[in-house]
Amino acid sequence: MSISATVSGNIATIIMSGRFDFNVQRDFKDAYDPQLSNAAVGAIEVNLAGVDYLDSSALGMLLMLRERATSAGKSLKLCKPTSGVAQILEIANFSKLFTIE
Amino acid sequence: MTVLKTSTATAKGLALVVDDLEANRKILQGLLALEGYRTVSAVNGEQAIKVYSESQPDIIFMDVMMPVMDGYQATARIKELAGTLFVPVIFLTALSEGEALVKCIEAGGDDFLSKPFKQEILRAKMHAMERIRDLSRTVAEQHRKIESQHQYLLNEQVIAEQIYNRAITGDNLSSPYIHSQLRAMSVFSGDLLLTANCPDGRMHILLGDFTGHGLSAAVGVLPTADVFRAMTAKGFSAPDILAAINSKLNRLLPTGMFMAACFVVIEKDMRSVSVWNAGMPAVLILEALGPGVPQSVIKHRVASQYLALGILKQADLEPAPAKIAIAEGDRILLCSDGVTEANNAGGEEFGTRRYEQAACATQHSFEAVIAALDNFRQDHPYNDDVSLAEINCMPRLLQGGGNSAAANDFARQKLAELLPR
Repeated sequence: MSISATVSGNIATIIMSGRFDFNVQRDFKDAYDPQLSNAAVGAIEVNLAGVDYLDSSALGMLLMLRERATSAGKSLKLCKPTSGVAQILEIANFSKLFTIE
Repeated sequence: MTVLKTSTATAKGLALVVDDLEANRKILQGLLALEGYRTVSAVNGEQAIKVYSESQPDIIFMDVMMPVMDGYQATARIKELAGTLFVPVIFLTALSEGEALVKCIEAGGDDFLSKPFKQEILRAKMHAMERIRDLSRTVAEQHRKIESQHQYLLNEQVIAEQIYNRAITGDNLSSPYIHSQLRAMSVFSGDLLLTANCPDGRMHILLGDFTGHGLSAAVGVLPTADVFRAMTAKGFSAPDILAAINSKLNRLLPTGMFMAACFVVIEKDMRSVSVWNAGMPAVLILEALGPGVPQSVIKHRVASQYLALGILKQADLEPAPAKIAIAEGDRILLCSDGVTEANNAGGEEFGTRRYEQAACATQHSFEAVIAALDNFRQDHPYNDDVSLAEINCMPRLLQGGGNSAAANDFARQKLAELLPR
């Protein structure tokens, strides 16, 4: 799993690849924390194009990010899930909570 | 044997001097007394073993050649008796040949002291041995502490697991028409299966899967079981019970922890079922393909429609699922994602296709899925808790009752396996 973050304009993008599971808890938080405290950032996008698996702890981490982003007044979007990941998000009915593109 | 008391403190410990020549013993005992040691002595190897056992010295000075039993044999035996306790043995030797020195080490000796004895050499060697002895005692003490801590935690877990099993599975309905298997990754499972009868004759079944696994995943299990049983017994409906479990978990669990669940209601007349699926793999309703045909066919697939429980403050359970008509002999198959997402050694996923194929291959879908999963996985370890349950819709299903004695027996058996004999 690799996680990186880039900022362009007021959009921060967190780019992930590999397995998104309980092992990356720390790294994921380290990637989004600076974006949440960056006043220039208005929107956070999590790019899931490179993620081939996502477990229930990863869903939990996304919920945590959602809560933090909401209280920081920033919008959140999940982008480009692969078909396998899209299926997991669908089973979890995460479209009720997240903008997924 | 003589114990030589000295005027200097006794704090440094007790030394055993083994030599057949009295002059040598007296000189060394005198030197040791000057270093602050109390001493005991023995005249041969055999006596040395006896004195060692009686007085447990901290260090031993051992002559090599002695009548009755030599220093090699005595040292080997004493080291055996000492076990993991470090008792340094210093050979007293005039030997200069390498071979004899090697034999001393092989017998378990830790160092040499050559005759005639010199006070400063003796002092230096004593200091070195004291350092090693202290280090070894510290290590042994730490090892003992870790060992006892580990045993303590293990016992705690076993007791907690027993309570947990009694509270969860112990109160489930015992029926030959319900097959279930919960395989936990660790002592505790984050998956749970609950079954109970309503006062009006309906049956409630809940299969839940908490985020993660192990103890942290299991904390929500008890309150969930409590709400499920209490409200089912009072005749509450599925959406009321689900909403209550959702609120309880939302209050109890930190953000990011939740329970995916499916809830099945079987009507008293056995003509229909309702299935709420909140974040679980699709629930399958299977029927026999035809009379005399061994295969099954999927009549309905109830996919996840709701968010897992505990995420929202108030559960969103709209729209309510449609009732599904069933016939005698239909079967309801539930699983956690530990089944569909199980991996083999090649990193391949078991997947929905293999799951449904196995379920349809026979009319014993439960056994067929377990066999297919085991065959697929081989010895590759599970990466999640794995649960599977099959409910056979036979009229006598709803007539069963009582606690599952089997579950309690299982808990007891596990306890017996884990506890030290």
